[in-house]
Amino acid sequence: MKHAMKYAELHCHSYYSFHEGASSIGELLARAKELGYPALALTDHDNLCGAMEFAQAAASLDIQPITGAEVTLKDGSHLTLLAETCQGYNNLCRLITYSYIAAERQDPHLDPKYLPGHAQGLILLTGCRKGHLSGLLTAGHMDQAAAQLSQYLDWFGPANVFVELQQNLVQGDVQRNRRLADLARQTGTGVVATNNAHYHLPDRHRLQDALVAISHNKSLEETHRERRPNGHFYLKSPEDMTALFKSYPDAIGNTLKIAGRCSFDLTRNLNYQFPDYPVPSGHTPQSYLEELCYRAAERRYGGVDDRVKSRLHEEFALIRRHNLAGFLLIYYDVIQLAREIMIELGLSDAEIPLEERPPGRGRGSSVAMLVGYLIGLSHIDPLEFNLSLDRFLPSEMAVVPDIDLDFPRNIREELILRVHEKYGWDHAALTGMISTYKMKGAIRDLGKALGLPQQEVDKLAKRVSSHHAGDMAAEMLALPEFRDKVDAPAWRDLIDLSAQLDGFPKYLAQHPGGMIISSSPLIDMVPVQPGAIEGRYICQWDKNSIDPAGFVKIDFLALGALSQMQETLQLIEDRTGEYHDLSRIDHDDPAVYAMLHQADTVGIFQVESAAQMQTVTRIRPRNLTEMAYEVAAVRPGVGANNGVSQFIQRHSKHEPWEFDHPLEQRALGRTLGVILFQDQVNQLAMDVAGFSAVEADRLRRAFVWRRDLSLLDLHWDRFRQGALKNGVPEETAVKIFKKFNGQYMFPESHAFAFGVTAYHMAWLKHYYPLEFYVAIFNQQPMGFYNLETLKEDAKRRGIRVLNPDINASLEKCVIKDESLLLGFLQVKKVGAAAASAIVDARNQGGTFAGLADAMQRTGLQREALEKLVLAGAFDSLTSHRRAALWEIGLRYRPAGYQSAGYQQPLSLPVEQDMAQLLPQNRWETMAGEYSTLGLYPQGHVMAFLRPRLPRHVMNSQSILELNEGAEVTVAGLVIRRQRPHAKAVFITLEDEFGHIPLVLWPDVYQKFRLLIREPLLVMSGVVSRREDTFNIVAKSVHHIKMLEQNLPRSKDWQ
Amino acid sequence: MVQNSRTASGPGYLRPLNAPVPVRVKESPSQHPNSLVLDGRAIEIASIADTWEINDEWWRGQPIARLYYRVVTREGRHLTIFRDLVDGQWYRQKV
Repeated sequence: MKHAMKYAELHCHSYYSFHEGASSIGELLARAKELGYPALALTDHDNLCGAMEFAQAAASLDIQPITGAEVTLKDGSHLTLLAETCQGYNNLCRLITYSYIAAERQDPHLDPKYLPGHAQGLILLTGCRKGHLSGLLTAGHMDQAAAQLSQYLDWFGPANVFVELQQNLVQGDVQRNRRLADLARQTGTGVVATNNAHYHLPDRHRLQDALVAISHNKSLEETHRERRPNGHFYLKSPEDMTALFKSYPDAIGNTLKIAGRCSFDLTRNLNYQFPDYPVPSGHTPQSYLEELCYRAAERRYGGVDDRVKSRLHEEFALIRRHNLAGFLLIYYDVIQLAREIMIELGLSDAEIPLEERPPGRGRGSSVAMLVGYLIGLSHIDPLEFNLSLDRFLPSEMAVVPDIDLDFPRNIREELILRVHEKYGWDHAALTGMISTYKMKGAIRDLGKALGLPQQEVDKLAKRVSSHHAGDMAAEMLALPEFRDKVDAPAWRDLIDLSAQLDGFPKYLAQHPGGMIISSSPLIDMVPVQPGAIEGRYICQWDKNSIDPAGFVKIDFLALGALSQMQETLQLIEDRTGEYHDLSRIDHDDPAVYAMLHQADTVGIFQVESAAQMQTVTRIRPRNLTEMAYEVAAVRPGVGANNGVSQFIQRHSKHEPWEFDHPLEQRALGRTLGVILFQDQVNQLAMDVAGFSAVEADRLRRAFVWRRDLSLLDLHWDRFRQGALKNGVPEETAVKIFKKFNGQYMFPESHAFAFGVTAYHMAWLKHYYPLEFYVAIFNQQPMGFYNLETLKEDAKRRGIRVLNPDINASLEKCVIKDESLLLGFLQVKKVGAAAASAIVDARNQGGTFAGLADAMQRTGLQREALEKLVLAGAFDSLTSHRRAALWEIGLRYRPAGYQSAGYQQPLSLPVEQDMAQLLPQNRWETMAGEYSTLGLYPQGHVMAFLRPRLPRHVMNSQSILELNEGAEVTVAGLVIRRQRPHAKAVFITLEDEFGHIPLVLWPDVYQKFRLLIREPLLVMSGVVSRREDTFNIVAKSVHHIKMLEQNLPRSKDWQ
Repeated sequence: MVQNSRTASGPGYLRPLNAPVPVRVKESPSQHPNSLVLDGRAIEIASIADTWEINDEWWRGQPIARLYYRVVTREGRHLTIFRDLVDGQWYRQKV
């Protein structure tokens, strides 16, 4: 549509105005494009959370993005601020920061005293109906209004203040605009029209109403005062706006004049400089980094040979070209802090060089850098694995190299505090994370807003299984008690609005590990606000916004697998005296790969889920490169295009295949024409459609950013034209474009780093299984499986798990007599204090002579004592557990008994009061151990149940003999329910011999969805050996009714 | 004190106050009100002081969508009328 009139919207809220704005940035921009806006300003309430996403997306649509915000002042009134220049942007960031720092976290309020000092480069619009000026005029306080305006003019300068007129067909708009325009005329101030847009299309006003109700924690019925009176807060056409403001033509013309002035563009003008690192005198960052690397190389390789030298030269040149030395040194600095923590925790020693025992593991581009290896931010020697530099660090880099650091949990917690401490909150802040609406949240919040009965709403929220709120109708149809409601009045609205709300941001939270560090104040570049945890500060951008900003973002994530690895290595060293440098083990060990090919992967990072077990047996990795394929394959983005089976066909079965077009060669050649890694998407866009590296990255982001589907049509247009120019027919271009999707994929370097870690874990499991299991027991919660399953897995390797023993166990699990001895902390209701009390008492007075002695010397609470008995900890001191429980009852006196003047009773004889009790039977023993330990070391519940099952129920070993299509019935304890992609649900059952993988297709799942939540199932189905997998395709489900409530819990749906 | 009228009370006996009354309105070509009939008399509208729209209760069976006009008659009377955007009819709202 051609628009004869011109208008730019300068006051527009996206869904980052949390619970106010009702459209995504993509929706707003796509609509602005249709309406022919040359420019659009984003003015979310008190934040710039969406500013970078907006600027990036606008650039790709050739709309001029204007960065702004609507700030809330101390008196609750609003002001609209637009960044004209970079300095204005810096000021805007500071003003928003101050509005949070001085106020309650959730309730930003800007003290106007900050305005005069931060007015440079900002254009002020006087605000909406809630603007102070509007309020004064509506109330008839003309003089005060004039005084207020003149103050704005003083602070910002006459050319930079515009009186904001809004006409949304709200009662009072006509009169207010008349008064505002009069005042503007009298003072010679410009006027400007804005529509205070809160959504892109009129129909979204319903969602906006619902959001307002949600934000007030009330229903729509209860929020007549809070909600907007009509649906006129959408992006209007220039013609409509011109007609609405026909009495004030200047107000329309000025929108374009202001837009013309706001040249600041976040995609280009952020002016972020890499932080400097203070280097010793006589050094530049580059020369210092080089020296550090040479010194480490001497230690590592015993000298710098030609191979090392030439690689270092290549990397140094690249680092110099992109000015990355300071950036890498900052990482080095953080690694040093982590190393200090490691030494304090006794996990390393000041004598051991950093690179020999790096405190964390890098993932990302650093894995291909020898420099990374030498300064301790990677665990991979790139020379050993022939990792070429340009595959991970292309010379035409769109963004700074991405380096994430994974740390054991204990190190990472402390590290966050140290970095805050060292750099200060205005220079170092945690990465933000936007919490978004999914199915359950949408049901609860919208259900309440719509006034639906709370009980029904809760029930629905509990019963649904999809996370996508867009699937609500289908979910309701599948539930008998909700089927009839799909077309009922308010429920219909729930379905419609949920689909719109899906993926909407709820609030800004803290990312689990990312920090950004800056040498110039960070609060000039992005607003910072206090986090929920005292002493932590969060920046208003999430990862997706920080990446294009080029900030030095250091992700230090807690990775349970590294805690497990660290402990395993420590245990090995304790026992053998040898500390394994995992970067120096044999990475082509056939024995380790053979174990992986058997799917013997329980407890191994990245290859232990049911889906991963099914691919690792088919991809059959034989080296680290193939480990990266394995790790990358089981990602939603790869599965979405059927990439996994395609890759396996080509890789393992050597099936013939062809590129869709020869131009795919460079991007997809090494992965046999299949997209496994995120970076390949960028390469494909560059090679096929001639995108620049930056444009290609933008395209990829358009897929990733929430709800940006509305932008993709426009990208497709560019892609089609670019491809056509490269001689790619449209039909083929369609095919190639369809390979893109917004689902998550690993970048190749991440996959490689994780693949290496997975291999290391496999190596440890193969050669040091005992230490491996002890560590994973101690590091719970982590991984995919509960302790019972881990215990079964250990048992199959001949490792015995021993019940805790009051006279032998320590707090944590330990190795004893080549077995795993459970620690006191494994026992429920025995906390850290109780566990240490036992160990301390034993250290002081020697082993306990009996139950009475233990009770007297440890002073444990009755509940802890009883749990210890049920867990078997007193078996060596008592005749049997039931007698021990009786004895505790006789001897125990609550705390304070003694201080109340009673005689110490514990030493009195109780034999005369002991009853003749039968020992527990084995079933009771098992039940007691499941309820206190979460596992039953001596056996498995299925061994007890098997004699009671019908004879045709097969076990996990005998089914392996069955052929494709065979009918079979199996039974077991559910250890995992998973839904790797939208279609099928996977259930893993465990019996006394092993695991049984089952698939439920949607029709079967729908029929039995409630039943499969039971812990013990009998399932019948048909054996499927499709593509070398083994599954039972379930047809019917029963459950085994048991009184026992304390069976080990499965870890589901992760 | 108000005497108890002894009439039965309950939902069926409640009468809304200030219920809008249908009114005949002549519109200009741009669909703004030009004149209206009040007490059987045609009254010309001299000016429109304010216009606003209400769009509410969309979640109920009967949503409300009205375009209001605060008009000034030739005789200087201020009246509030609205076009019901659901049924298209004009009403007068006594304030």
